[in-house]
Amino acid sequence: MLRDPAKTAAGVPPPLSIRNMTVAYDRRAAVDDVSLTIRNGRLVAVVGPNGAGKSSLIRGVLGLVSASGTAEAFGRPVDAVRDRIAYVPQRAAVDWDFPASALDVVTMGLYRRAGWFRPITRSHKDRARAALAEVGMADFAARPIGALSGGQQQRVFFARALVQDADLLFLDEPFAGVDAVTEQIVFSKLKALRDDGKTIIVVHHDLDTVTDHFDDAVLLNKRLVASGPVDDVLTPDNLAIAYGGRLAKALAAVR
Amino acid sequence: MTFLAIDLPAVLAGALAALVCALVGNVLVLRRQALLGDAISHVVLPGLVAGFWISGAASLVAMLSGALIAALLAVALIAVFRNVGRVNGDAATGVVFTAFFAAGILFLSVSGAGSTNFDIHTVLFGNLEGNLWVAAEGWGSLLDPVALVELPDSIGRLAAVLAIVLAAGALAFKEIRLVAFDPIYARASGAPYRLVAGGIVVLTALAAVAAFEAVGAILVVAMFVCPAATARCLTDRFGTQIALSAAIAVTAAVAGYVLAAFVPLTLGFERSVNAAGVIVVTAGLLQLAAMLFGAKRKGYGPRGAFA
Repeated sequence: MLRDPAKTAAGVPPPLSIRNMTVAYDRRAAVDDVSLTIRNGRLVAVVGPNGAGKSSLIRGVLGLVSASGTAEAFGRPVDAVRDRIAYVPQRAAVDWDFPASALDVVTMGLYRRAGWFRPITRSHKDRARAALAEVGMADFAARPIGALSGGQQQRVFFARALVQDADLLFLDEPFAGVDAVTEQIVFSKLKALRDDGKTIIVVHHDLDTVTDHFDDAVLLNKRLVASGPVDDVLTPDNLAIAYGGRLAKALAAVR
Repeated sequence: MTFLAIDLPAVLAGALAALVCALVGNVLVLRRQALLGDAISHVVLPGLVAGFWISGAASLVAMLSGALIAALLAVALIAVFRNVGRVNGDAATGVVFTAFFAAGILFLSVSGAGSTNFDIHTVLFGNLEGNLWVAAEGWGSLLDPVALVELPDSIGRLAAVLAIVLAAGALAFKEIRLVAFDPIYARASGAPYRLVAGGIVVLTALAAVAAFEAVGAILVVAMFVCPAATARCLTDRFGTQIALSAAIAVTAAVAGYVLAAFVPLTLGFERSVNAAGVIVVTAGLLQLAAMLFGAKRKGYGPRGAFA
């Protein structure tokens, strides 16, 4: 489990390597000079207090906000390997009152493969239906997305990422405000993907469940506090740096 | 043949203008940019007048170039207000588009364009009734290429813009849907986001400019928003919504014109009322009816009730 990161770097290029990334809004840094490497085939939690820049780091990597520094996936600039990357934005980022069915949204995951300005075919729709079935949503394909519960909407978003067959997945707060069934389905799919050799990076708000479900963790508080295997990262000292003294002690006690 | 000479061109211009604006309006409404249509249709006025002024006639090229320059200038100014003046986005947009519209009104009175058929009344209510087809001699003229060429220029312009909008919509249907629903995911998956988002703005400007002269600012703004919002109450499918909005726009235009042109005369009033105004009121009433009786509301009730 505790492989030397340098050894990983020496072989195949890592799925994600971030160098000196800074993301700033209105000249205030949300992510401050973060460098880290993610190892292949790991389920990684990005944790830290509110406002620690967890989502901003992901958005910076994906080029969704302007950021300085570099991000490489599989040894190449992110822009060059977008077909190997899937992204599940925060559920609150879109208007769920949009006129679309669950199947419409999942099919969006295949737009890139179908080709821009080219039509969607029946086989694309079949693939999207299969992905809905994988997350227990087979019966909801035709349902307007506005008529789905929060957890069901999250599973639709997740299925949209699944159809991409990506090697590197980013999920931004996928468990925020979802039901227990959704949480269980998504976690078991994530583990299955990890066992298939995919790398998954999850912005996660719940420190308590990190040890149970994740292999590695990235602890942020604008700056990188620690990155690596969960047990090495979530130490009382590191938590004290990220969360401040008293809260960290309480968290350590819970663990 | 007063119907062919007077009513048909006016109805055609009104319906085409409504259709063009409504089709683009779907995307604006779904992207929560309904006021972009409002802003653009105001911002282009000084450009239209300047083009009219400089070319000395209602030249399409001059007026379109003027409108485009005005729109680009406005976008740049809004950026300056936000970044240098640190005014927030909607306030900056509000300031710029009202200032541009006011400048357009000023140009109108200074340029003397107001003394021709392009005046403040035209700006607000358009000149639907001014669309005449003097070459119409009978129903046979509808099949006569020579007579058809004599149809008002504004109809040709609107038809050309409609063709562009339909072609763009057919080519980029799924990309437009993606960008409208989830712009963040669109960019993350490497979609041609700037092309699509920029294209939407350009099509909005084209639709606004083409419709502006025929039907006026009020109808343009209403048609960007009303048919799409009405259709939204009736369906939960993207394609259906667009088709419904088109049908609603044409219905409002035709019904509104008929109501304006014939009903007052039948009731014994001396003159017909302004068609653009009645069309907008008709669209508003259709919206009200859809909100009250919309199928979508009936089926699902409040969000999540169906789940």
